[in-house]
Amino acid sequence: MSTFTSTPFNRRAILKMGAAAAAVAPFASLSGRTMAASGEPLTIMLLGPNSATVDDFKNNLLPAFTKESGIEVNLQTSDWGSGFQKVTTAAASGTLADIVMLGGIWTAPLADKGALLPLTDYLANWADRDSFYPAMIADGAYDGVDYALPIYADTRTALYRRDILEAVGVSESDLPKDWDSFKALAKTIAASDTSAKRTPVFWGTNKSIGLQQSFAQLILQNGGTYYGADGSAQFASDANVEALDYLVSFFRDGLSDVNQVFSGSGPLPVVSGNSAMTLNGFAEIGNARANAPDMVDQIIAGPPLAAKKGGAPVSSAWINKLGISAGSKNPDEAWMLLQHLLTKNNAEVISKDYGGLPGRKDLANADYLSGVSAGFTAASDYIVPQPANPNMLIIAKEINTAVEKAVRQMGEPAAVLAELDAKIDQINGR
Amino acid sequence: MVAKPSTPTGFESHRRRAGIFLVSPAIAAMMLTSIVPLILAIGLSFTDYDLFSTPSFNGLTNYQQLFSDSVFWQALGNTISFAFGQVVIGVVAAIGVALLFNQNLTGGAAMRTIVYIPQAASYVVVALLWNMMLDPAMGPFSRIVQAFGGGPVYFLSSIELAMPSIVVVSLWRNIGYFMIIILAALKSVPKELLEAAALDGAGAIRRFFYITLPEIRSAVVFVAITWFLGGLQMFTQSYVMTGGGPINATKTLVYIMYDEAFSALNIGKASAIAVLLFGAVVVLSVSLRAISYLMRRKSQ
Repeated sequence: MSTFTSTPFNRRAILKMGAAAAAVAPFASLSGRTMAASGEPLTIMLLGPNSATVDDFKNNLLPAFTKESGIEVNLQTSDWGSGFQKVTTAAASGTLADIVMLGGIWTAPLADKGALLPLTDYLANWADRDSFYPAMIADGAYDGVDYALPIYADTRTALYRRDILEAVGVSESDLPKDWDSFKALAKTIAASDTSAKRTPVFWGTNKSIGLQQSFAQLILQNGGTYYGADGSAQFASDANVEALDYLVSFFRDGLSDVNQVFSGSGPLPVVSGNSAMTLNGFAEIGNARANAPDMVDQIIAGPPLAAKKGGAPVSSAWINKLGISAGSKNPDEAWMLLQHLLTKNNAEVISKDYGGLPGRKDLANADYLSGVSAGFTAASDYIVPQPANPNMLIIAKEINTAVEKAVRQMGEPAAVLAELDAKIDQINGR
Repeated sequence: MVAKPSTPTGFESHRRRAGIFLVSPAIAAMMLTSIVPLILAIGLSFTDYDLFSTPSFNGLTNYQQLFSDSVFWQALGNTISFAFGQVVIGVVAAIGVALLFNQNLTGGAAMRTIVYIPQAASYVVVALLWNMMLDPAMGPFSRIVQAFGGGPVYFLSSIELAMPSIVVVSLWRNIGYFMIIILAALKSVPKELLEAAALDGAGAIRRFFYITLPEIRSAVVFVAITWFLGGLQMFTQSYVMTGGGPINATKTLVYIMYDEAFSALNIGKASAIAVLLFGAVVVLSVSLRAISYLMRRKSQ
């Protein structure tokens, strides 16, 4: 199921220490640290790369770094499914790659275990920092310390099928901006004769934590939070109960279907036309490109929703990042490589290959984004990071199960969330 | 007069030493891959351990937490119902298919191969294949139902249908292997017994229950025990096809063990689940062997 490969590239003889030190000198001034090239090759571990990503890393991005710095780099790859397992076991055994890719909610779990190197000193002198969306930088921090930097993102906002909206007389300028208008549009589609009339809204239900991801957006839009000041779970707060009640109302009113579960392959419901609205990100475009290329320009990203009319719009994002292993023998060289990968040109290549949105603001109009709805990148300005928690991987699953119970009418939202609070407090050892 | 046990001659003693020498690599491998991990798991189950820090003894805390966790009991129920459902249906089906292939049908060898082929595929491949087959929109089964005027069938997202669907997929994958074992047993049933019974007027059903079934009982018991114990370790189908859902309906003990170990990094609790599962397998194996032994003695 999984792959774990170590691909040496640019098999040159090991460079002499002096040459390496000379080559890295310019980078040393950037970080403000004394560089000490160990002469050992660096390793970087990517998760879930497609062949284009691997090709670009092997043939362009890493050779360019080697040419510039004289430091060789070995590329490791793994699938996402077993990625966290591999990263944690490698970190625990001291064999984690120097630079490692992290999933959206991995920073806190790994930083809490001491697996990641704090980047504070490096970032203090990093000129490129202001080129990134601040919320995406913040998403790589835990307990006030920066541990990882965004490499690409999936910013979530409200997505629609243009042709279905046109069929019900709604133009792109009339897209919903708040919860009430979003639901009103769903009712209009339900009353229409379009292909999405049975399930106008798809809430991202899948075999993973898709429901949790949608619910997270609603919580943040409604001003809710996950934890109180004392760290106790606050899912049963009024704002969160209201958010869940709103979500459940779509299923109760026949606007969504609990059995509409994305299996992980084939077209997503909005791409196939079985639904017309969803809260998703740029991955929807990737799915359309793979399954129904004609639909790419039919998917439009609307403004992020606000809970109330005139309220502040909020989007959430699943930001994949790069961090440096705490056990790296070459942290300074790893930082050089990290900077290299995050330059404007290289970040564009990586975002494009991975089919994600860029973490850099100055790539908002990148070539590869032409032809897709501008709303995708616009939503990045409204990102509110999810609260970081060392147990987030298991907590996210618990939230997903709780939300699923509620949408299946197996419990009232308030009761389900109160039960969830107790469970999360137990997980957090409170 | 009782014969005095003879002392081993030099040759025998040499042979014994050679035997011990020859099996020692296998014993060492077994110690390293089975016994040592087992002892480690038992030890870790009494600790708080997250892979990164030194394990700290916490007594029975992991077990207490498990026993007070509703998801653990749900996973236990799911595991037993999967294993039990698979074995009851599977053994009957395997005997039926084996009886069919024992009839010297034209093309029987080809059919046996076809039934056996799924066994050669990994569970991941089988699960992905059936994911498509059971898709409510595109899958053939749902489409057939819809062609007859029904609605889409949500095999994997319905709480009621998800586990039965996984049972069916597992049966499809495993039946060939167990059918072959039963078929081999059927081939060894003495023909003269069956012919004598037929001459005495026994019909096919009576011949099956009074001659064939007792003769293949050992093979059937072996199949049932092996299949059941394998079923207790089900993980891949659930992980790939349903992600343990909907609402934990297909979460098994091994699934929550994986979650505890690699999502929660709670190695102590995961080890506790492993120890409980191991204990259950040992108790069941010994009990089933005892029952089998008693039944054999009774029939003699």
